[in-house]
Amino acid sequence: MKTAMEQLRADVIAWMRHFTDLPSFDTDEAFLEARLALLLADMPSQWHTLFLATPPLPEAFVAALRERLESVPQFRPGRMEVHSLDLGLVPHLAEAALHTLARTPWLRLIVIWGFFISLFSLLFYFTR
Amino acid sequence: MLFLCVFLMVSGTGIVLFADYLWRTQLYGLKYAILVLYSILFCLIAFLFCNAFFGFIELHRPGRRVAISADEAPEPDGELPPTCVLFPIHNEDVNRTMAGVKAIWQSVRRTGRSEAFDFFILSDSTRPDYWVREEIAWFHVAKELDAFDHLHYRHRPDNSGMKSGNISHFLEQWGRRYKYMVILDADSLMTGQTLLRLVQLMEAHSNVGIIQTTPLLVRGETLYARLQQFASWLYSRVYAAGMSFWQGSEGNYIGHNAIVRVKPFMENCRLPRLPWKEPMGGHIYSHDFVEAALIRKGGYEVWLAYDLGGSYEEGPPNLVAGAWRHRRWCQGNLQHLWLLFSNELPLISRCHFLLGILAYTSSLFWFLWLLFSTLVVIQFERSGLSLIPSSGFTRFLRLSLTQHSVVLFALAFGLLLSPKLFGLLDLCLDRRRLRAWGGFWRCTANVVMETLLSVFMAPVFMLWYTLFVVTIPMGKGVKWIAQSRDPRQGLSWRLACRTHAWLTLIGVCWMAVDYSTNRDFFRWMLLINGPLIMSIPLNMLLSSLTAGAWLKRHGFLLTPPEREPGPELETLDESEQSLTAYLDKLPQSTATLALTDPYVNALHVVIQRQTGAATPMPGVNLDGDGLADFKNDPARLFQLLLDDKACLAVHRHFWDNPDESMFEKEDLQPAGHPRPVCMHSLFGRDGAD
Repeated sequence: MKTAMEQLRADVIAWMRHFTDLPSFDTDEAFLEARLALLLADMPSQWHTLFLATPPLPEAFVAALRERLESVPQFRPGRMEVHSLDLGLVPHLAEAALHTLARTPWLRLIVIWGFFISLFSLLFYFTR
Repeated sequence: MLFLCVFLMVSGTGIVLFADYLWRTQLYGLKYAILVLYSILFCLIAFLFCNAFFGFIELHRPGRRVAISADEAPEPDGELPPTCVLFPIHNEDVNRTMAGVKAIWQSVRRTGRSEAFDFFILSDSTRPDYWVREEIAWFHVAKELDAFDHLHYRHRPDNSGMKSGNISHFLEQWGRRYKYMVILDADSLMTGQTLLRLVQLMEAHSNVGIIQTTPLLVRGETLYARLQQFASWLYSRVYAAGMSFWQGSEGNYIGHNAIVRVKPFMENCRLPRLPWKEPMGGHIYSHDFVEAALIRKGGYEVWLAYDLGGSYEEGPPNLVAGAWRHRRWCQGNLQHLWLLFSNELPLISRCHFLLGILAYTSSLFWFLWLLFSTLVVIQFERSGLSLIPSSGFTRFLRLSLTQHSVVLFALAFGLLLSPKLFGLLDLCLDRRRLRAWGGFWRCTANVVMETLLSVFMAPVFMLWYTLFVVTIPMGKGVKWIAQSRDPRQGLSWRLACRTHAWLTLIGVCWMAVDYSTNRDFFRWMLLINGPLIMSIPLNMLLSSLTAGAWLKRHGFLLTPPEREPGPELETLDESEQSLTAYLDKLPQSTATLALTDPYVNALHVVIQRQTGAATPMPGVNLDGDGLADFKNDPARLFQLLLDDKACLAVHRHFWDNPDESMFEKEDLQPAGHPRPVCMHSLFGRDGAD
């Protein structure tokens, strides 16, 4: 026994088959196509009185039902390759230093404290 | 070369005068640091002056100008080459984005050459509601314009690589279909004529890789936005002409409102990852500068088409939104430190990197300069000595110490104001333009108002930028989020206090120190401390819609398109209003419509399949309880929406089992609407369901 919804699905698919080529193998897929065709044909606003009406139906509506949606055009695949870039000596040294500091936490601690101590020493020296 | 000579002359004069001033008051200790900082800062304002000066000369000298459009591009016969117009968006205001798309498309259609253009909305929105809203809005606009052949929508499942990743993803799928791409932001606007002209210029110059336009700000409503807008319209003309004068074919790219030759871009501009980790390394945030450098490295030219017109964008509505945007740019620009020493990149491109870095680090230098100056004054006052000036090495000028300091101040301030003065002078030399600006006196009053408020804003931005420059290298990066562009969101006193209380505190402390040290210094420093102390009310005033509207009503800070808006701006306003009215019908949880509404579900599933973005989600529990979990978890709902089969299955389940409480009726019901939004009420007659 079919539920009301299943019956509606079957009716819509059968009705749509009068006008369009719906995939027949899968109800969900066919119903999806049907819903999209109704949307594209502007049925909800322009043709709502014709929903499930007996054919023949106005040519304009049938033509609209046969429209296809293409949200994007056909793919033309290509590749974007990354080219290696020589950053120069200074960034290489900086990177090496950063990696060394990351690997040796005690050295990092000394450098950070050394930096602040020298900064404050300099400030003290110049403003004493 | 001429530019460099004038720059060296102007900056040299300022630095020598300041060094001499310090020499006359005894150069020692901290004053050396002050001199170094002043030299960097003075070089920057000398650069600003030279840019404006040469821009002014460039615009008004007879003969051929340094511009890509200097040679008239011939009208191409027959068909135009295929060109795509890209709108990379990420959780953006859908109404504004789609209204912009609509306005630009209609403008292109008016040129009669629309066949060559394909528009792509390239979304990598991660918020399900935004994503589904984008799909509905795209369908609505494409249907309304009957432009499904030319107006496309694509959503990618992740936003890796952010904007540059979004564009690369597009190019790898469709790039080979197109010869040129025009990149626009969610808040961009470009006229059809400008788009056409850009394509024609590219066709006429086969060695050009990128042509960057100068987008001008429009639709500013708050006082802050109106100030920025006024400044962009009046001053950017001479400034951009000056930039074009010295950079010529080695220009820069700002990531939007530009046309790009696709093939060399695809060959050269895949971004490398920077050494170290984010925020200072890793993925490149300010990708545009790097892409310009890479395409230059590939042998192509990059031009700034400063005289093209018809290119617009919108600015942030208040200081906080502006600061947030600058924080992102600051992080991106600081990352360019890694690329500054690369011999493989052209020198001028590295100059652009340096200028970008200095745009933010100069605030730190300015702050340190003021701080050290305060320390020197304190040091001197505590010494109890009297100031006995010695004769310096510019004694031929015969200046007293006071005159010397006034000359220095006037020189620095004059150079800082020079872009504004050259902008005003440029306007005064063209009577037709001057009339469009409301006449000389009105315009001068506006310049004075804009200058005064800029002076007030400068110390606030100084401390903001200083904070960014200090905290970003310490690991406090930013996440890529859509910027706020909506003035109606407003700025609450609470947010203003939270974001500016520290500025006020610094201002009060600094002023107290200055007052207790030296009254003359205190008075000078009021220019800095005053705005800092007043930053909260200043911020509220600047983000005020009422103040903006009042000024507009009384004819202040008006720009030419506000007096005479073109068809694109009019269409944009109308479209935004109509789209807002249309999309306001959607329920709050718009994403659930993609599972429940028969039409939205069909649209969503088909878009997913056609764009190749459908991703199976294993183990979806389709019973009512399992789905209720999705509704309350945006991340899982996002995953579910990626799976076309699951979306179909849920839709079927929803309609087959109406009694199961997987979605409440309120989920589908917009405010003020008595019934759920389904079928007719969304796509058809309002309330006819």
